[in-house]
Amino acid sequence: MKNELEHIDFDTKLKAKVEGHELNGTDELWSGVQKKVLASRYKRKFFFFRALSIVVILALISTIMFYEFGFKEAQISSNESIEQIEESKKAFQNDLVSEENLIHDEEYIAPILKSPDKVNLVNNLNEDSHLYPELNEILDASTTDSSNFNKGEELKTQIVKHDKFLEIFENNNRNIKSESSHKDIKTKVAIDTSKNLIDLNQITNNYLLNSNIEVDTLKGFTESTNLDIDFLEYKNNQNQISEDTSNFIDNLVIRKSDVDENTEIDTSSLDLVQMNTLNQTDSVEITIPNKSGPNRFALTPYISPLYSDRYLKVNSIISGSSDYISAFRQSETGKISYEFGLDLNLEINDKWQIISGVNYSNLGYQYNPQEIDLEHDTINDQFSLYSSVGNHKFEGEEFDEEGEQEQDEEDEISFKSKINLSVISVPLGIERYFNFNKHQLVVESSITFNYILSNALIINQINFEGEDQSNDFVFRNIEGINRFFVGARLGFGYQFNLNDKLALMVKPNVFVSFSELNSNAFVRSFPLSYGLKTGIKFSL
Amino acid sequence: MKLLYDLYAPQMLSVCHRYVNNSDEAKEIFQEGFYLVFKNLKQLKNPEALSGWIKQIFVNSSLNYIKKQKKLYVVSEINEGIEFAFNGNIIEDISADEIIELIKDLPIGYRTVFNLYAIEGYSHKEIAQRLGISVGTSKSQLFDARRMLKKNLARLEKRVELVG
Repeated sequence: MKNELEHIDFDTKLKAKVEGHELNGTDELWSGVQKKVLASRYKRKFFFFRALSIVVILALISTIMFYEFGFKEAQISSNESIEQIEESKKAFQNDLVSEENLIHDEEYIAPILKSPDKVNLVNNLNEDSHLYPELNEILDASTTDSSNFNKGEELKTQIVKHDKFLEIFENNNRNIKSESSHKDIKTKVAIDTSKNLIDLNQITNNYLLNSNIEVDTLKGFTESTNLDIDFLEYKNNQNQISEDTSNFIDNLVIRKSDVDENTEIDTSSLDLVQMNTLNQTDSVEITIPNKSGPNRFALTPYISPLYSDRYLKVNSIISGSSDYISAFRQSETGKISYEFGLDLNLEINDKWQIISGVNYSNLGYQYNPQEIDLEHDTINDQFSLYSSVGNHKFEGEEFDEEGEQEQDEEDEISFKSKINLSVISVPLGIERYFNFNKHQLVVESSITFNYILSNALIINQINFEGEDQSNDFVFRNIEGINRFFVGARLGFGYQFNLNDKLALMVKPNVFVSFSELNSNAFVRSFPLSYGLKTGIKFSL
Repeated sequence: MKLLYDLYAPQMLSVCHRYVNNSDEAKEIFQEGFYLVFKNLKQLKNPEALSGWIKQIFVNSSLNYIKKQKKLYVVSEINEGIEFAFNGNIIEDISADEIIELIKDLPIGYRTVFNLYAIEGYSHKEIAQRLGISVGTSKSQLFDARRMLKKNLARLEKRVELVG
């Protein structure tokens, strides 16, 4: 005590002597100060305008790129869709069929998809020739994954096809009359019964045997429709028809109005089996393939291992403080942690998406202070913890201790400490996709808004007494921490599309905070983390 | 700007000289300090605290310079139980310049801690945080600084006695 007073007295006397002491400066010193100040003003202006010009250039480039490659594409693709629809509409307009009976693409395609030869469809159509180009496009665009028709419906369709065939046949020979008789020409068109096609012997009865149509005339018809019917063959092989004829029948374009429930079928020529088939209703449903539209929204649940750390800055009145910070940081390391969350994507087009969502992460860092002083203010029940790498204050009820407190003074003691921050975040940003069929590369850039749900300082005191023993001291609600902070995330990832609804995603990323955790401290702390997001993307 | 400079320059130059024992280094810190004063003057919210604020800047600049030059190192003298007795009045008899010279003669670790604790009034905990050392180290440096100063003052006292 006496010594302490002596020391205070000593210090006080020295201080009184030294404080207020002045030294005379020189003009050279003042010139040096002036030069420094003027140089910084020039540098500030230069830096400001340089930074501003870079920002403006980047903004211009981004706008041009987005407009040229993103927005324009969306526009073009939407324009194409409109054009396609308009063309298809025209294709189905016909004087004989009113517009409301026309089928749009999806409904129309189903019967046609059974055709094995789409090219012949175009060639074989006559009065429907105006459908040719559009139909090709539709057939090319559609999938061939149609399921079975209802048997009764299928048979009905085929019957209508037959009538259609006859109609075409008749129209092509409307004004043709011949005196010759070809009774011996029999055209019995027996079509594969597995497809429930019917016997087209009416062709023979109505138009060949009884119509007095010359073979040449018939050939003329077949030539005009690009059919290659070998009638001599028919004569000899009454149970066969040419493949072209079969294809032609298969590829006949059928309108909905032709096959709806009100269509009357002449069943007089049908046998019993066919009658039963016509009346059958049990079968699988007709799946009409629809051209799927763009998937606008997507959800991606993910998990991510994290390496969490921090970076430091000191107040601006200290310049060149990197060494000071590095001394601080020598005792610190990052920690392995985790993050999980749910991303929500909104597709703008096939290259750009807006990303948002919500996630939870455990941030923080570890440090190894050489010394720790712990003071307990019993009156206010407040703990103050001092270490070479930081000071913290806690309320009494926020202090948890796990493990035994007893400690021998001769023990070797070391400390390991870590800061735990439980953070909930909402990102808002943009993703750019580079498409390679099923594979996609993704670049993410987003701002994240973060809120600290809870924070704790955990000190692990390790005593060495021949064997390791450790005590954990847990301090919650570290004083002076800002609950809310903002940062940015940058990610480069890979996505594999399993199908148009499901994709696997892997995305390494880095998060950096702009705002500090402790704004009033001499040393300001900014969270930092490196993660590997892994998830499954569900397109809605 | 010159007015502010003229008002505080002599005192701040003395502050800078207390932290480094080289005149050129003191000038460098001095110029850096005033540059920071003029740069951050607009951020000063309480004009009544101007002199304290300016002094704070110079102290920080000095510390920063020392760290930047990697000069801060701690020395432990082993003087087993040797106490230097001197008459405290010697402090009254010698000039401030001589006391500052004695402080400058201290090893940099002792000098820095002594300046911060005894002259500027920082606590050991604050010093430890600023310098990146432990509280215990700060205390021991201060103890050794005082011991050395007393030793030097004792020698000075003898010389004064001899001289007369």
